[in-house]
Amino acid sequence: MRRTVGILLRHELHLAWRQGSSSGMAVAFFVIAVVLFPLGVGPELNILSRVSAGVIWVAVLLSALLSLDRLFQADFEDGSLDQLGLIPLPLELIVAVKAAAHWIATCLPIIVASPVLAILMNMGGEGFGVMLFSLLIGTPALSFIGAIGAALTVAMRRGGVLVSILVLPLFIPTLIFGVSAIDAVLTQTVAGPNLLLLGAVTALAMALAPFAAASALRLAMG
Amino acid sequence: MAAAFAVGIYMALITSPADFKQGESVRIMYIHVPSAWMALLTYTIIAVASGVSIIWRHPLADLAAKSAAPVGLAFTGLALITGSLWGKPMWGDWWVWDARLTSVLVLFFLYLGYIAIWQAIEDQNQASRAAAILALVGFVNVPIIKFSVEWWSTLHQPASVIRLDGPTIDGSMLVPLLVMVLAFKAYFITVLLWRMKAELVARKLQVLRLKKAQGA
Amino acid sequence: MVEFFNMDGYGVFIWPSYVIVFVVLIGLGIQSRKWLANLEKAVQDLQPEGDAESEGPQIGEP
Repeated sequence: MRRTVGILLRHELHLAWRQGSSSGMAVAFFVIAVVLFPLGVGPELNILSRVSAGVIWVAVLLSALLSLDRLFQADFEDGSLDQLGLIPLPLELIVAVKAAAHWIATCLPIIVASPVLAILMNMGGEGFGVMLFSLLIGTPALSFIGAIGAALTVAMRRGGVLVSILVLPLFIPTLIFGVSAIDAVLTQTVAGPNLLLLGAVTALAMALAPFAAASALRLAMG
Repeated sequence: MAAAFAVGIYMALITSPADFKQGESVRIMYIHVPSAWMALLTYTIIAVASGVSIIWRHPLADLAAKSAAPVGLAFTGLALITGSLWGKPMWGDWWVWDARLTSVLVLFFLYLGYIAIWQAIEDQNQASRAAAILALVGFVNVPIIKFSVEWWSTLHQPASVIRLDGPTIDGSMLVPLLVMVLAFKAYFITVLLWRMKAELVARKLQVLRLKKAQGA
Repeated sequence: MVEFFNMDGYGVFIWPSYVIVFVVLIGLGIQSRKWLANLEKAVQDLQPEGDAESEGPQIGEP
């Protein structure tokens, strides 16, 4: 079973790599979205550094959303989702693997790009470490919760906007705890509880979301 | 229902006393608090009905959940508007990012998503099950979101803000409040039944049209 | 009377909130009723023809 999971994950990543654009597009969107903020609120470095953590996290949420609506759609349309059903793995596990692949292909490149944007947003130097850590433990929740939205809208031709409406409210806890952790370090208070809660949200999402997403997919496959 | 509203409004606007701290503006509470409670209660009802629909596939549960959603959305919107109208004299601003108002705002978005998915899927059977899954996912998230928003607001809150729900409610205010809550509940049940009946008739109409199309 | 409507200056906030609440609630109620009535009428319009073959045209009203 572990072998099958490994093969499936590699297959998914290979697909994402071959389609290529998705990772690059997510990073490009992330960079542009963050750059818009100084242009919108003005270039004062104090203000920018005060909102840096929030801006970066919000931009991460939006970038993670970008490719979510295609998470199952391509497979659903060309019928390979039905074929995935033939693999001797529970659909829940397949969903989890696909969400993990989304995280690796979309969120990981964003996280790698985030320090550059933290510099542009004039974030205090002590915030970088906790920012990377909070993104690492927080963003898996985005992929997994997002998988529910993607599964619910899989049969719709233009599900993208609907996915955002369904999923963004559910991203709020991750956003709050992620930003609070960074701000706590920047203002020299304790970040620990925020990071614990952030991790708890991710753990809960990873544990429960595959079940909801799988039942939504079964529904769409009839 | 009308009687409950009449008594409730009479008590709320005329016989109930002004609050010693908030003055006459406390009268907004008698419609704000029931709206907010009903907003939460309706979402709970939708979640329970969705659970029933998933486990037992009872078609009436789907209808109940679908019919309750617009009413819940209305309650949520009213809680936001009256909260804002209450906040202006109390806080000096139309909108304050207070934990309660923010949670209700998020609840408003959850309702929107729920209604949107009903409208986005044409096949009613599929729509009902997708909406049920979404309602349950949302319901699991409500306490988490509420907790996170409270966490966030304690981090950002300047300490001296009057909270919308005074610390204690005097008996002379409790009675009109309860009467109003009762009136809101009666309203909810009445409109829910109307809408469920309409949904039933709509399905019947669909069957009839289908029959006619096949017969012709 | 003026004093009652003024409510210590809070009337500007109290009255609109009551009006909005009742406009929205009554509006939603009317919309629900109308929707139901329209559907029932549509069924009535279809029913006599549909039943005409089997039961006769008058059976529409309960």
